Amino acid sequence: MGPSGAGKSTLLNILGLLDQANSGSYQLQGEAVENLRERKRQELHKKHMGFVFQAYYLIDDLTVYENIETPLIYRKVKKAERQAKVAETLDRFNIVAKKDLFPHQLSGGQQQLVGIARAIVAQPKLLLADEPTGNLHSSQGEVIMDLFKKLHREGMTIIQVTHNEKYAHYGSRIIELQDGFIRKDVALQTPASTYSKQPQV
Amino acid sequence: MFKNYFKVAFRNLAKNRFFTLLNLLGLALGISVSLALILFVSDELSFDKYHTHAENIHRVGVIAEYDDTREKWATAPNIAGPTFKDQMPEVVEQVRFLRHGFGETAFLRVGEDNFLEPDLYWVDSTLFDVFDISLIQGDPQKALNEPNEVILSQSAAKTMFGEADPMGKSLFVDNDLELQITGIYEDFPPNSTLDAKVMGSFYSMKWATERLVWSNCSFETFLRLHPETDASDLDAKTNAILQESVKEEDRWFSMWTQPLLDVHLHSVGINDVGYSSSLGDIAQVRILGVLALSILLLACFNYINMTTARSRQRFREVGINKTLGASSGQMAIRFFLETGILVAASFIAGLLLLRMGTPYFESLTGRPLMYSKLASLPWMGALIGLWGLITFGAGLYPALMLSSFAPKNLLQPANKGFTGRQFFRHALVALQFVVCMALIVGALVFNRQLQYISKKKLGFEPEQVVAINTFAAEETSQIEGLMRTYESRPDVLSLCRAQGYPGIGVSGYSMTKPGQDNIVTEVNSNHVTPGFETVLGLKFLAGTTLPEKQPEDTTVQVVMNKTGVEFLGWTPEEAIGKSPPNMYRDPTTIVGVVEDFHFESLHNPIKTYVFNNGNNFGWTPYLLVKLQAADLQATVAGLEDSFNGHLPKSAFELVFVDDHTARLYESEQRLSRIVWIFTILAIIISCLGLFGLAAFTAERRTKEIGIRKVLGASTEGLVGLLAKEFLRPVIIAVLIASPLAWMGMRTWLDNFAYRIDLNWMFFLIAGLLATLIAFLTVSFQSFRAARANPADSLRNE
Repeated sequence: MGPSGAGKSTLLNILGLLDQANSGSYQLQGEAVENLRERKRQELHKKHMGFVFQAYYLIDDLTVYENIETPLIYRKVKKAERQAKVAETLDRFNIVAKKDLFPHQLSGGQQQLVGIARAIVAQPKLLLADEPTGNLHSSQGEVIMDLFKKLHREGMTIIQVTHNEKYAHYGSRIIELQDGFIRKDVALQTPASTYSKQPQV
Repeated sequence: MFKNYFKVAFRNLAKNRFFTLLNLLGLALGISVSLALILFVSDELSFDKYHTHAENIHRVGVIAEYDDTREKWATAPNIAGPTFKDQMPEVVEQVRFLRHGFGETAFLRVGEDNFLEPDLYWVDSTLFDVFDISLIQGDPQKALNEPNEVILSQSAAKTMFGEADPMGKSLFVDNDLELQITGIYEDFPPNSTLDAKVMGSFYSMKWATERLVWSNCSFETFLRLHPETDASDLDAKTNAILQESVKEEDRWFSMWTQPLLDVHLHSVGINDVGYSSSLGDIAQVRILGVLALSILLLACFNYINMTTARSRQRFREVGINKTLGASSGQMAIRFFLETGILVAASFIAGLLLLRMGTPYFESLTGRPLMYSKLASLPWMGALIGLWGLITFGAGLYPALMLSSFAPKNLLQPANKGFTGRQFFRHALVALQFVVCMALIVGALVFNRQLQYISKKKLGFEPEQVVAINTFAAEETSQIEGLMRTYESRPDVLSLCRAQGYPGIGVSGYSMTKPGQDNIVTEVNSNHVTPGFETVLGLKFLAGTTLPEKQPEDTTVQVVMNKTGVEFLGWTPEEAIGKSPPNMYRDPTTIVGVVEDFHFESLHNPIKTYVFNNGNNFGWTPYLLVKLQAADLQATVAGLEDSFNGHLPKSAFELVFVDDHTARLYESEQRLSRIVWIFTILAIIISCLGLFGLAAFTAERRTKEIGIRKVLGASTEGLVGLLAKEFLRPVIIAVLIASPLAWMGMRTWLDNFAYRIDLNWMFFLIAGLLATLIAFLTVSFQSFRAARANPADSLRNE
């Protein structure tokens, strides 16, 4: 959590291997990644990360089914397997009936559901969410947060940027940033996650 | 994976229908004209290659030198070919062509039918050993071995004999010579320099066969060399033989040779171009090539501009895909694929356009367009290659630029570097308008110069003057009878007999300055009968016209033009009664001086010209008639009737002298038309691009426009604001293009001895035109954006 300009999104970019830190170190599963080559970083990004955005960022020209399928294509998953995985995910998120619709035909909450389905279809270990409920009204937001809780219980690490105090408490640890520094770091329960980090932004 | 790429590409193209259509249209136009030009150029380059020995055939010509001129002729003396074959071991064979009557139309008669044949040649029997000519009937070993034998092209045979078998039949030439048909050959292909329809055996021309001399250079001569011969010293060797054979004081020319494969495209600048009627011009081929390339580039620029203009939308897509795991390379491939699909669609549309425009294009170039060639395998390969090239050229920058978008900016929207890209797009717009501007100047200058030519006072009056060929008359009395009939017609103003008329060549002589035998000038000499001055409408500066000739009079009277008299250093009055030094063998007296007139095209400065009445110059094949007809068609029909009455065994051939002089500028007129078409195309393509860019800018700046309107900006002010963004590159383009166009036009105008001045008005008009067109294109979109209700645009965020 933190006010605008605190460095939340930048931190998310660095954690997601989309950007590099000016200083400090970043270990992912015990491996220092800050000095890796571009190609290797991309590999790790592909292998471990899923992204969820405030503005959903679905691809307008693709249907729900195709949106969810896209990450699998970039991971060179075979067609039959792709179909199985997408079908399973659709089923799990209860959006089978919407699979042939285009993003603009969905409500905001439904779009974000698809966004999350797309982020996790390749079974990442780390889900990075940038204000995923920012554009949603509260009942939709709660649906999303419940989903996150469920995913977390199944073993996925989720890092969420949020302004919402209530949604922040769905997590197991709250880090408050201000002007690039950690102001507060509260563990709510015993962390179940396996990663470690010392962010110094 | 590619299936997915295809799907995305198609949906993207379909979603942005407006931009896709603009791109498609621009590319299709560019592709269709470039294909047409590539076909044309490849046809020009293919000339004469079909001969088996093409690479080893060389044409022998002479360079005639006077003190003030140096003329290149493509023809040589009749002795040259046989001598070179004898004395040069590398010459395998030689063949000579003599055009019938030195270029006069031949009158052929088969039974009772008369035919006019401008392309009758007298040819050595070795023809078949040098060139590939396939006889459908007859034996190449025998066909032209004897005097009075002739072979016909298939089409000529069909015209003269229809379905009947012509072999062994008789053919009369000019009611004089009887030839026997000994062969029928396949028509020459359209890309052949040789284009004779009828070829008689060389031996039929007794004078040319038996009297071998170095003085008469009327024979187009080809040598076939051994395949391993190095042809680079051919000029030196032939000149060495010439120097041995002819004494220095009699040697008024030197030899030069030209490879057969150069004849079609590299014969510009040869004064006597030889016998082909289908000569090309490498400069024109180059200009067309450059034009084709420019149009293609313009279309590619459009694509680049319109694709990168939409980069904001595309960046988002790239960012999302990258967070989903796509690499830059994969994204670049996707964009290339999209470009490739669009270019392929443009090819299909372009080929359709080409198909529809074929007749028009053919009339522009005056040559058949080998559209069907495109279906052959090598051309298919070339088309695919071109597709790849355009895809690469148009797609490279957008693909690299769009795919390089870093996904981190998705979360932190910032538009760093945007001004740089803006600059790049404006630079492309500027480049497009450099081309447009240069073309507009070119089109304007071409137009003015051609107008100048058609309006220029020629110094004589060619209107309603006709030249009737009486070459085949059996008796002079027939011509005299015809003249009396013509004279009695009310629609005939005056008439005379003449060797030639302005626009066609006459005899070449020379004369020297009085007292200075070493200063020589060329003289064009035309043998005429009195009356020529009224027929041609010449203006006398001094003296009178030629007197009626008495048979016992041995002096030659001449009427000379002003340039000639000036060369001699006399005023027109002084010249009367004097004799031009070293001109004719007979004593010569100047009886009149006329104002200069353009007897050649305006490419050439006026030289000395004389009309003579000497008894020893009996060659007057033409009847020149000045008409005064209200109904030209009826008059011409009347002239033909009387002609057929007096000369029943001749065919009627009539030329309007003004038509003939206009035809001297055919190639310029053609080039001018082509440049117009290209100018219009270039403007259309550039405007398509500008239109798209303006549409995009208007869209991008909707919010800004909304804010400005809320703050009180007027519609006109906003249109100006939006238009300004595009006018700057256009104005810069005008400034860059002007000096380039100036240099180009200077060079082109240098081809004319008489030309317009290049003044700043051309550039001002072209600049204003380009700017106006750009402004109109842009303001349509700007106006729409500026008129929009700000409440709508501001709510949109």
